[in-house]
Order: sequence, then C-alpha cells, then structure tokens
Amino acid sequence: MTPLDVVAIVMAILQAVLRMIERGFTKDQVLVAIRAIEPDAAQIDADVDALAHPPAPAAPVKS
Amino acid sequence: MLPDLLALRRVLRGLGLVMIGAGIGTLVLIGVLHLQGCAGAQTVARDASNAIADVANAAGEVVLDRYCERQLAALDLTGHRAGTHCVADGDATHDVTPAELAALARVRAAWQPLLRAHAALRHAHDALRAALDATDAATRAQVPALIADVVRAYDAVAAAAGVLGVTLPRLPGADGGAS
Repeated sequence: MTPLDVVAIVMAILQAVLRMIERGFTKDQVLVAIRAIEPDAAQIDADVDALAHPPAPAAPVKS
Repeated sequence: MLPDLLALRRVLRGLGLVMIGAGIGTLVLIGVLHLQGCAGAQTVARDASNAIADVANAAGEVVLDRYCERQLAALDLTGHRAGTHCVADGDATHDVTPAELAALARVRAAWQPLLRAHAALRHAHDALRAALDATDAATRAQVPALIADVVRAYDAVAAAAGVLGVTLPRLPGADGGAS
C-alpha cells in the first residue's frame, strides 16, 4: 500500500462521513409545496354562479 | 444544458447565492457539486425550490383575487375574496342579463390558460421536490434541469397573467432578461 493509497482511503472515508452529515441537514429542511388553486377557483365559480342565478323567491304560502 | 444553468442562476442569484457578475462558472461549479452529491449544493437547490414555491403561492393568491373580481365585474358587481369565497359588495341579487352571462363566460374562458399554467407549474414543482427527496444519484442529478423547468413554468404563468393584465410577483433573481 503506497502513501497515495492511504490518502485516497482517508479522503473516501472523509467524503462519506461528510455526505452523511450533510444529508442529515438537507433532510431536515422542509420542502414547501405549491398549493393547488383549482379548488379555490371552482369555489369562486360556484359563488359567482349563485349570484348569477339567484334563487327564485319562495312562493307565498296560501292560507 | 446552458439554458438550464442560466435559469438556475437567476434563482440562485436572487437568493444571494451567486454574486452578480460572478459568471456562469459559479453556476457550473454548483451544478457539478450537486451532481457529485454535495449536500451544500443540495441545500442551495432546496432553498431555491422553497423560494420558488413561496413566490408561486403568493402569485396563486393574486390570481384568485383577480379571478373573483373579474367575474364579479362581468356581472357589473364589485366584491372581493373572503377566505375561499368570492363575495359581492352590497345587495348583489339583481336580475342578471344575457349580456352579463355572456361576459361571465368570456372571463372564465379567458382565464383557463392561466389556471392551467399554474397547475402545470405545480406539477413541475412537485417533480422537483420528489427529485430533491430522492436518495439515488441518478434522480438527484436531474435537479438542476428540474429547477430550470419550474422557472420556465413560472414564466409561462406570468406570461398568461400578463395577457389578462395581471401582474404577478417576480421570481427571486428575475431581471426580465435571460440572465
């Protein structure tokens, strides 16, 4: 085993340790999602539809 | 590859992670580090993903606000979003004319490209998040390209909004050019 081999082994071990530590850090970081707007858009459509087609007034009750 | 790197650079520069004028070399270095599995570069990529999501979510709120207002305006009403609802001001129970109904249909049709573009942006971002959480190197290697996809998807949303006269917040580092 040459000195270069030793250096290579040490470097490989250090790199592996660093990756394990760093991966731990990145896994802790929460990934924010983009919220879907389709449900809200559909709700807006429904709300406006309710305005565009107002319910007919209830017929007076005959006594 | 170069367009991907340029798009990625826009975001990274906005995050203050790439000095203005540092040149493409810095970005190439980050890209290479990422491909090597360097978690420092992965953290940068996750920051970029979150920054894009924050802007996209703010943009989504603007889109919904204007969508509500434009629909009400088609019915000759004013109002605003309240929570998840679209509420008209005052007494809104007036007789709706055929012309108003036609105007309402036109508004909804005109907004479909924007709503679709936002959905496409969300899908692109979901793919990015999945890649950022992947453990295999092959998937992680796709992250720079996926960030570029998301940036392009956001540009498409902003363009669709622009057609409707709606201005959306800009992505970090967006300077209106290709840099």
